[in-house]
Amino acid sequence: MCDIIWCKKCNTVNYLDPYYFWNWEGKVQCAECRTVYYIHMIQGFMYAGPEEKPGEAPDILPLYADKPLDGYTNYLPGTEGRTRPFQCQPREIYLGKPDMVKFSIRGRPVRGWAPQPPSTGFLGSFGFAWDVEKLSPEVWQEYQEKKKRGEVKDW
Amino acid sequence: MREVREIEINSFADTLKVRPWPVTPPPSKEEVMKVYARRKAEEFGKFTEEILGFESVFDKPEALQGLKVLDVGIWRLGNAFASSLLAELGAEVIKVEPPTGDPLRQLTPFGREEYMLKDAERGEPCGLEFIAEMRNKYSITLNLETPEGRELYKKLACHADVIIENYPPGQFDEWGIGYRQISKLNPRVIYCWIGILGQWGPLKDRVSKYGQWMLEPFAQAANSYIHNTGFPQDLLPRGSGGDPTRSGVWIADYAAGEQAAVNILAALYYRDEFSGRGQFIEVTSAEALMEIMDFDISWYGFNRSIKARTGGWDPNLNQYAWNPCKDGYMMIGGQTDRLWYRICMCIERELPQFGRLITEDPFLKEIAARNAFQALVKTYTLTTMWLRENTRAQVEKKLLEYEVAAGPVMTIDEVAEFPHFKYRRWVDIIEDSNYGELMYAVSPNSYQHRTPARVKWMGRPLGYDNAEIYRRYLGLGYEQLRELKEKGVI
Repeated sequence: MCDIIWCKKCNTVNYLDPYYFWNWEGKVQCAECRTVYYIHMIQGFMYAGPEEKPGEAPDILPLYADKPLDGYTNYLPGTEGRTRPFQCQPREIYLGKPDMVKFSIRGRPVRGWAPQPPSTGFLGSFGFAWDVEKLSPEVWQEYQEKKKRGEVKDW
Repeated sequence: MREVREIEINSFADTLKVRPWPVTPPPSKEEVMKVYARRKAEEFGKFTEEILGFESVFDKPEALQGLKVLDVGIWRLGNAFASSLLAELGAEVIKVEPPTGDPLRQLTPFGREEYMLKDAERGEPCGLEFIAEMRNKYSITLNLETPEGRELYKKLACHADVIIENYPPGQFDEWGIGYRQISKLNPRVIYCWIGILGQWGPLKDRVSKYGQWMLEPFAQAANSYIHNTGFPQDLLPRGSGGDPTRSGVWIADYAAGEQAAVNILAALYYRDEFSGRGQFIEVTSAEALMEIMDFDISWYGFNRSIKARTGGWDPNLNQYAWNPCKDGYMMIGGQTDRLWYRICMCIERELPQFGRLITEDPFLKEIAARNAFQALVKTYTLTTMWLRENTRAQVEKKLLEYEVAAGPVMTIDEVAEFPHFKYRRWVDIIEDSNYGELMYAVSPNSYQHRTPARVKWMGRPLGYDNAEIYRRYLGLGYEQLRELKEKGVI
């Protein structure tokens, strides 16, 4: 923002960073007394609010808050339940373990595994015709079990 | 200087007219002399203008005159930029293209032909990117896929001091025209190969997903440049975002081109001063950009930290960032106490809250402490509270009164009208015999006392210099060239 929410109840200044809040509408929770305020930001200006919304859930927490009249005591980014964390990390979707696609929807082993198993070797890639049993016994085993369960179909 | 034309905007249609340049004339000598006088620097100002100014550039000798360079590259800008740098310094650069032309000629924004330039003679469209990096170069065509073409190339290579090449790894060697073969014919040749990942090592044959050549964005992606450019998810830009971003230009190729030029000049010095022999050089875009990736790799090695994106904020300094303002973005820089308190004084004049929350905060009084992330959030929140009321021009004026470094984030039309650049003739217009009137940025190497770099012409149509170059170096006459053309060799 571009702006602050100075909570008059507890004299806490909640800082709204310039980028996220430049154009934003929603509810922010005071880090100290947890009062929920509605704000509507347009082009960096607070068009509406802060308006108390008792009993409603906040959309977002401030990144940082402090109390200038109380020796500048503060809540650092990422204080549980008070300020939101700033992890500078890749999004969760990038942090998860990728699903390895080994079987087609018909249950047959497919070529394009991602990521490739270690048995492919350094930078290796299986060709169209390969010996699953020999090259990747773990997938072969899984394939046999699928067959037993009747999950492998011709079409 | 061209005649200054007025622009009058009376209707929407007027806004689509091509703007004249310059809209306003550059500052006069008298005005600039007053600037010099402010710090009693009249004499030094006059001296630098006299020896570095644009007026005498074309009367001076060229540093690399007589140096012959073959630029045998297609698709990428690394080789093109390296040879541009040498060409601006006076080398005779011959761009060897396949008879169909360097594919780079066809690159144009969104594939729109109206953004391409047509040469005066044949009217063939050519992309602006290619033209900009074709400065001072000759264009010849040669089909290296034919044995006859390769023979011609060998003969041509015997005359070259420098060869810059960027074909896939080992391709020229396979054709019998690589460094191993050429250096036997011409031991003094300096042979520079420019690639993305390198022509040796486990990934040397890697192509991009659909089997094309490895192109520049792979270099940006391969060294974490893209990862740490852009906004983090926690601090999104105005709309939404937080994704990694590429550079707006092919920066890895430009970095490689610059590195290649340095390598080539060092090799030339060594050849001419010590060994009398040429050498083989390899430069890759990924590694060239990696070298200028700041401290990312050292930090990772130190404690396994992965440097995050912080958008317009510099993680090492406070204040040192661009933040949104009324009509764009404003860069404000100042880390030391002197600058910090000057910024505070300036903003407090109009936003007293800034004094209460920032200047008086004991935590922010210490240089190292105010670099903490929460201190950045706090400082920039309040700074932007002031910025939102001010345009870039107002902010610049107010901060400069306090001698604080402040610069607006400018768009290219503003750059072209920036009085400083107009005065220095850093932005200029060239009358090109093939492509007409073109605006360009003068080489930064042109502010040299005795041997400044210069731009003599911009683009060249495909094969424009075939007759001249083949006659001069291989003694081929018009009839022979016609035969070669019919056979598809040139």
